[in-house]
Amino acid sequence: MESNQNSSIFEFNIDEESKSHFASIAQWANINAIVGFAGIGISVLGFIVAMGKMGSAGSSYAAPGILGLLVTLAVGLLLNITLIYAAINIKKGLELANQGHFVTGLSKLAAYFKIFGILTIIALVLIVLVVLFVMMMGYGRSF
Amino acid sequence: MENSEHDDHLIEMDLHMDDDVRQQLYEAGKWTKFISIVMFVACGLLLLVGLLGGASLLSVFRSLGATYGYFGEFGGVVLIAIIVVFVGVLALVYYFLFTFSRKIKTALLTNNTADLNAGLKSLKIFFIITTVFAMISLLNTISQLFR
Repeated sequence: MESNQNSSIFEFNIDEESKSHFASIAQWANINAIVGFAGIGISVLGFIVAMGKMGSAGSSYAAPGILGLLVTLAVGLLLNITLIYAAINIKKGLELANQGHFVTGLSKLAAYFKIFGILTIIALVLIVLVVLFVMMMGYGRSF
Repeated sequence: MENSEHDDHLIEMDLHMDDDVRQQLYEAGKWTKFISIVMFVACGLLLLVGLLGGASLLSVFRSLGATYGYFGEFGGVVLIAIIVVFVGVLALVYYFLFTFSRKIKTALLTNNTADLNAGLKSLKIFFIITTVFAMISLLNTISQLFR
């Protein structure tokens, strides 16, 4: 019985194939986060260029635009910083065979998906609210 | 006795499946399952709205007569085709995330390394596809900026 338990514990381990997959995940997550940071930078640049082109006529659109930009910045930075931390720590954990770095990397990866999930819930709530608002407006007009 | 100590020492030197790793993989699996299911539902709704929109576009152009009939039908069919392809690709991307969550859950329950590797492979494919799409989106944004 004891021998069976031991064998099942040792069979379920991080083998060379798992390490190779973890390394690829870290590599692609790293690239994903870098592309995300570049996207955030381009969004900020695009907003500044658009405001510059519109001049004084665009001042009325500036406030909602800045609000949208700030939300994009906050969400983008939060997601991509978490993802890049996950990638760096998983990579370090694999290279140095360091369990601490590896666990930190995985916890950041789990946090990334948790943030993604919470943002999905917020998006769902907003969509439901918009649909309800549109339906109420429709009923309001019909009377 | 000595051998056992030596083995324990070797295991401690390398990465291993301890409770923390299991806990983090379980958390990741739980949230990826939720995200992928929401995305599948969103895909279904998008497909429904797209098909209804495309069908109504077809009927509107048909009612306008022969002049608009051909272009209208073409536009409606193109709209439906674009939506079907978009939904198909989106569903495929989140299928890999769903497979990751499913395989990780099975691996943690049955202590099966093969399932763990299959789940990790799916997560790797998910990251590859989303990164490629992020790059395409970034290039598109840059090209629009300098237009």
